[in-house]
Amino acid sequence: MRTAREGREAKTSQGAKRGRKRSARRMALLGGVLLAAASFVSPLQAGAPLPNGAYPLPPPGTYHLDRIFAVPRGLVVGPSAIPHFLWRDTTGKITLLTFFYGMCRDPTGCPAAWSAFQAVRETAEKDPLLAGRTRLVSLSFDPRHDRPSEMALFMASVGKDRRVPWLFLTTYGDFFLAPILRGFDEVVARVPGSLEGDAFAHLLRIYLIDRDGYVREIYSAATLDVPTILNDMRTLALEERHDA
Amino acid sequence: MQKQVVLDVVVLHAGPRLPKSQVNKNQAGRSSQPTTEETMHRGLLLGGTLLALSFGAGLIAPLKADETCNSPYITALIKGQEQFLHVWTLGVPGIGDGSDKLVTIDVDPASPHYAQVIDTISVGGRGEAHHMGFTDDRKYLWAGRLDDSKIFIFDVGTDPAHPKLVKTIDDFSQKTGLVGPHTFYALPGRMAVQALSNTKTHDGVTGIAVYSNDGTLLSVHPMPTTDGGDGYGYDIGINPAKNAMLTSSFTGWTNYMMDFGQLVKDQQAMQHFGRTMVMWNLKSMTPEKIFAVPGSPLEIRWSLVPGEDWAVTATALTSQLWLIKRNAQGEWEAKDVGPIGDPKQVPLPVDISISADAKHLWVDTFLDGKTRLFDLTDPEHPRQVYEKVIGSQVNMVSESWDGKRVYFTSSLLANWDKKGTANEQFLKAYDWDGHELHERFAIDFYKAGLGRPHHMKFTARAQAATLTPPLQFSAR
Repeated sequence: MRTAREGREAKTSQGAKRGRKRSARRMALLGGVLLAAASFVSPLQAGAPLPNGAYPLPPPGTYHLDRIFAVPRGLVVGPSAIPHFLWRDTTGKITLLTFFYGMCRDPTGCPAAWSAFQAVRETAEKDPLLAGRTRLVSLSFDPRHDRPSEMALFMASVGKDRRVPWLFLTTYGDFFLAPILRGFDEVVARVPGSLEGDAFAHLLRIYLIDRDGYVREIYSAATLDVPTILNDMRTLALEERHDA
Repeated sequence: MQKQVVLDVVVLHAGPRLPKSQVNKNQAGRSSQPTTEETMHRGLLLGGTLLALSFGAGLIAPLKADETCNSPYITALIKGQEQFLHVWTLGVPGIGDGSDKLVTIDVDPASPHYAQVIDTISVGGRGEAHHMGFTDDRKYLWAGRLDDSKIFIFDVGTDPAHPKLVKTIDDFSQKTGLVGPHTFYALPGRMAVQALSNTKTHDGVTGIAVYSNDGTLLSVHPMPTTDGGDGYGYDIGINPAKNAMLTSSFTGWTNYMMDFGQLVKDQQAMQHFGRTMVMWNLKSMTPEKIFAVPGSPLEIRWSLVPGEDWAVTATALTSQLWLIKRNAQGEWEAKDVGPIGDPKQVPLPVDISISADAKHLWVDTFLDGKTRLFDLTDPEHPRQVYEKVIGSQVNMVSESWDGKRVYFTSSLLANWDKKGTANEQFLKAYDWDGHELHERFAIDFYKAGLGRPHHMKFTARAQAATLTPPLQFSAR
């Protein structure tokens, strides 16, 4: 039978072990993310000329992007694990939002979106029209595995306190996720049976959202072109300036 | 026996949503936090996966389409055996209930219901049912009527064997000023609807309306009427990699609703057919170049081979194949590349279907009831290599992605179909062995009490349950 002090020491020891294990987990996850981020090369450079025969993008502000639909209501959580409404992260700035899950292996899925986000951020931070007016949001559809602690790791890996913030969000479960997926008409299916737990079949989509919370363009695998995304973001920024 | 249905991306909505009990089953016996080993494994796997992908992930996907004739934005391609064929069918007085309807046929040879009509949805009335198109997520099928301009949205994702009518848009003309919603062409999250006519003059001057996937009108874009543009419209074909949209031109309500025999004798009316194609800047939705293509160019088919930037069309009245391609200077141009049958006999080409490898093209000619196969290996010089009479009249043709199956329907327009005994109304399914069409089954749409079959679309059951509940169509 242990004394109270022995019990406290044992708990402390167990806590330390848990802390070391947690630390090891996070280092492993972060290591993977950083390794991936460092080695990622965007095949498209922002501002690169379009291939011969392609019609050039119209100058920003000279064309209109339809208001396709309003961002749905929903509760999400970030690294703090404190729930908040999704609109907090999809209004007030021009937002690029995509759905993802941490274990995605589809080369035309989450990794492609990740690469596009990196390229967009790099350029947007140097553009006075976009810096300070834009944000990136990655929202997980795998709340069982992508928890707030993982969101913190992802955010740390892409860098905090940047001029174009990149937020990582998840939900408390499918109950909270479903209305968000429905609102975006984001098609996601769980494919059970993989060794690493569930895999997901999903369609790559990146949503461009204006500061009022309306989706103004959707990029799919067929249209995921960084110069086009930046052009559209500048169009929304000029639209805001005009409205102001 | 495993079904040979291969979806490019698993479609995610057949069957019920995963029950909560089943969802929880996967977590049974697990602690709320993953173990160290699990997390390390995940982290390393994630890193390794992303590292591996970093060398191969392209940001522009190759141009693809389904049934070889759909929008490149449509995902979940059926590259194996299609399971269901949906036929948008014109109602005929005295035939069945007389209503326009969506007819679903089981076309999976492994099914006990193969070659049978397994579902019909009557939508009420007769409004010249014509073409259909999937939304980009392939969950919904939009179907239009050229006379009353109604648009019907069917849920074909939840249970493709039994589609459900989820919304009817009955204010298309009122809101857009356009008449005759013809082509339904998926954009990401939206549907571009190419109309044929307008509410003021009922001639061929028209435009394109863009809707959100839930049926909310977003914008209207008129066809060009200056710089050589005739303002007419018919089909849409998009090449995303080129930021290019190509459109063709047919005729207006006054003509397509007129009796065909009367129409061809009316020289004034015969002047009112499309004679242009337009290349648009897709992003700005502004016309960039207008091509003179006389004789009413109809369906547009881009080559599905990545890097092959050309498209073909067939002109209905002049019976010619046209190629739209960049010239040596890099400029897009349209040129006549050869006849379809004997143009003097006016065989009336009405539909075309390109193979996935862009090596051949099926061309249906309505008046002689023939289908013809052209070798497109050199698209500048197409060469007819096969022909077969399908019936007394034939209209639409759809081939499977693998090119092994070809389906035909008979009706063109209610007032243009042949009369009397020549007015056969059928769906016919063939196997193509590379040399000959072999009939697998035929359905007489009159004997079956269905009507006049027109446009066809394929579906297949999904392989995984979706997390995404259906759209709420009543909300907006």
